[in-house]
Amino acid sequence: MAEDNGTEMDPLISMEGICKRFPGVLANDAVDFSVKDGEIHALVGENGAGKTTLMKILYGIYSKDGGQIYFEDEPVDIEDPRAANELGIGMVHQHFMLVPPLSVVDNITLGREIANHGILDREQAKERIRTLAEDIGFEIDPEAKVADLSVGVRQRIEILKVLFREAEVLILDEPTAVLTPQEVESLYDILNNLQEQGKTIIFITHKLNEVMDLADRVTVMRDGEQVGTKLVENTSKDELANMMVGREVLLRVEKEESEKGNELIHAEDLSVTDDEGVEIVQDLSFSIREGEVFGIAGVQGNGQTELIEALTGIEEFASGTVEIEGNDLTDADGQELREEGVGHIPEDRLDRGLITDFTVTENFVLGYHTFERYSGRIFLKPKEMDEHAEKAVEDFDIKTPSTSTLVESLSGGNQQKLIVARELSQQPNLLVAAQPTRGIDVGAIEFVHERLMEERAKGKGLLLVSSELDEIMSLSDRIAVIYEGEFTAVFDANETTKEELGAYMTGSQRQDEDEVRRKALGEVSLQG
Amino acid sequence: MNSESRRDLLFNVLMNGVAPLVAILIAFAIGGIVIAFLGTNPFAFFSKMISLNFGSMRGVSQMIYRATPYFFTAMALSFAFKAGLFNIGAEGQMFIGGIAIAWVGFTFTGIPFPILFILALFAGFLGGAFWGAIPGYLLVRYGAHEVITTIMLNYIAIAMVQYLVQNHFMNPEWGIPHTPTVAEGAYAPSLDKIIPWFPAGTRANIMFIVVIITAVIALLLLQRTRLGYEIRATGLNPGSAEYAGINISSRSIMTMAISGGFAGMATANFILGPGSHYFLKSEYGGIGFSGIAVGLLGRNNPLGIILAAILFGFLENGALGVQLYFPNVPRQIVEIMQAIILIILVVVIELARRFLNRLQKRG
Repeated sequence: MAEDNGTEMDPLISMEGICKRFPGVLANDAVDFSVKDGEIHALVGENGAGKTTLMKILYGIYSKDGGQIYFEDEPVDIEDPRAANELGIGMVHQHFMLVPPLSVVDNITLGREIANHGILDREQAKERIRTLAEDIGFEIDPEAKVADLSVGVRQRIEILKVLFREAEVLILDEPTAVLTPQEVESLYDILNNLQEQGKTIIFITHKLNEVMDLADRVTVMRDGEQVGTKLVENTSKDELANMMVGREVLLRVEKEESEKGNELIHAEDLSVTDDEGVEIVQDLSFSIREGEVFGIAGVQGNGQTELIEALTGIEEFASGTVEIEGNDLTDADGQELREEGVGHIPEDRLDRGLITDFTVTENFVLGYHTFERYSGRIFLKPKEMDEHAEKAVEDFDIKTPSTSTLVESLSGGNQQKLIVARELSQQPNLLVAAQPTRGIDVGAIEFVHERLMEERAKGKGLLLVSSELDEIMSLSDRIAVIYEGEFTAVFDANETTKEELGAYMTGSQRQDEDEVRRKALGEVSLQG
Repeated sequence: MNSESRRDLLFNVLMNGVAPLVAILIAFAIGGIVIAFLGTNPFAFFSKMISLNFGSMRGVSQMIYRATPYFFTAMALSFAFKAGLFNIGAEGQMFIGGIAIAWVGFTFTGIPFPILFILALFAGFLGGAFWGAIPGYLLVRYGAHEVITTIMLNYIAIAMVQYLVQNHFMNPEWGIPHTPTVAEGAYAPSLDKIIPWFPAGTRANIMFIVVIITAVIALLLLQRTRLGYEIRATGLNPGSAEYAGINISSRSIMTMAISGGFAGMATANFILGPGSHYFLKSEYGGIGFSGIAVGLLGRNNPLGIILAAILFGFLENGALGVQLYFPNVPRQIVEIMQAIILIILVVVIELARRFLNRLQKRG
């Protein structure tokens, strides 16, 4: 069954039988991978599938234990990144390698300075950078300080750095992981422009939408093995997801009708100000009932984080009231809210949700450690803590050698599952979930979505904040769009589209203010 | 997964076992070379040192006596470190605690042993805790970096203690400025009263038992209590601690206070133990700063710190005794070796880290 996956053509780079062993793990097991000149090739797989390892071998960061790399049909030995550069291969890492206090031009030329008799010719360098940037469709101020630039712009600098070194093949490691949706759009444009100029692009991702939108071909990896290469036009998201996970995966969530019960949370006129007194969140009102998911859609940085941190007791509201099941909890701290049955999946799992140097057990009581179940007035109850962790690890299928393992050594997906398990195992009535599936792979996303929907079916309330519109659309009952700290619209999830939400997310459209408030508070029907 | 735990084990053994030992061995080698240049046989020198410390129970008890205060000032550094704070103020906290110990000891003279002893020790803890809490408060309230404030507070403490002794507590007829002697109820008994193996009247005293109790309490506090959980959480990840509803400001102040309290007990060994029974400032200078080295060498673990303190006690006691036999080797050779241990340790730990990174990378 010779399916056309484009491999007959002469490859530019061909990696054959690549093996790489780390202590106890076979990260790459006889992997074949080839790239054609001028294509955009996506390399997908779950976390830990060996994608990054393979690319680090191609870029000379890791040495391979077996196999051969061919460049233009010649066997090559890529010992270090310098050798890769000489072949015209460049890599944009997931974590940027920039010097923040230095300017754009200094960062880009670092190690490849243009000099005239030993004196730096910055003007010439700046001119080249401007040209390179314009060629792929954006403008950049070469004198700007990197520290002052956004993540999206920093990524462009990394790309320019690679182009400045005259790379013909660009490897991008999860380039969209750190970007906002708009930044993702402009990255797409940049990559398309690069392709038009004849560059070859390999990008690592686990987001299937990106593969479908951008790539010509896709190679899937699972558990260190290459499980297939496809022409994007001949495959589908479902097929790729199944290949990645090795079983059938539900990409769409089964959302059944749920009984809407009593009002769980009633919030009115909430405002949050920053240190300078600027209102980040302005007069938001909403209400969530039992069995209901209230989604907040919006581009990151429009007040979602501030709203959630105030709502969960980390920060304070400047004004407004929050009633949870009839109790005024506007000024309650995190401990009180947890006691009242409010769970919180924070948007940043490493900076908020976990202590990676703590054990699995210790992380399982984070925030609940003062509960009588887990500690007395002075001493912790290690046995009870452990029993709870053991049970939750099993119930939520968290892959860890033991409960005394440090969370640091768990995969990102399992770390996120731990947070979800911690919050759900306390059986909250109201769950505040921010970006509950950010940066985790398909299998884990499916798991988290299913669990959240189970809670909804049990009559729990859920406040969901996400920048993934698909997620908001498929999980929510009602969707509010937030823009610059205000709700610009409220919709019934069944009666809106991504395009419509998108228009309100950029503030280009707005529903009537009073109507928004009444819809968010559930005072009027959303139908019609 | 299994490889992860193997790597963790390797990491632990390298960082906490091999690195300090290598640092100590290299320090002895360098010290030996210096001694050889001074015209003395280093092997004879070091074997004399060993026999002075381990050759008799009297040697062992002298070593323990010298080691005891280092434990407390090292604990001050390490405990704060667990909460992500750098307490460089053990010196000052030790002086404030010391003056409090002496004051209770010579003021409440009617109280019998062991109540007065315990009260005096507790006063030392409180004095140090008070002095440690100040930088904690300044950090939380005004964002003043604790490294700067603890260093500065050292000087204030030294000057203040000097003033108190010379202008309030001291009899002008005494030649050296010191406080009045403490009452007998505050005396820390010699170790031979409890453990008969020690020679009668040895200066090693029950403060060494307090050391062991303190180490156990500190371990329990950090690992088994709610407060310890919150202190570690605050130190490892303030953002997540905040998320968990932990009041990180109050935890930081409390950590600095407990940390200072440990330092505050350091001089009890000298004031309450067998000897002069008064607070003599000039005798204690530098113990607070050396505590930094001992804490690092003990890898911030209470049990490791006991071992590291004993090493410092070994060097100090050995240096005092060995002078009689090798007069052309200055006693300061030991201080040089203490400094070398610290410098090498930092280097060795960094090398071990790189080695592990490469191991991880190259597979």
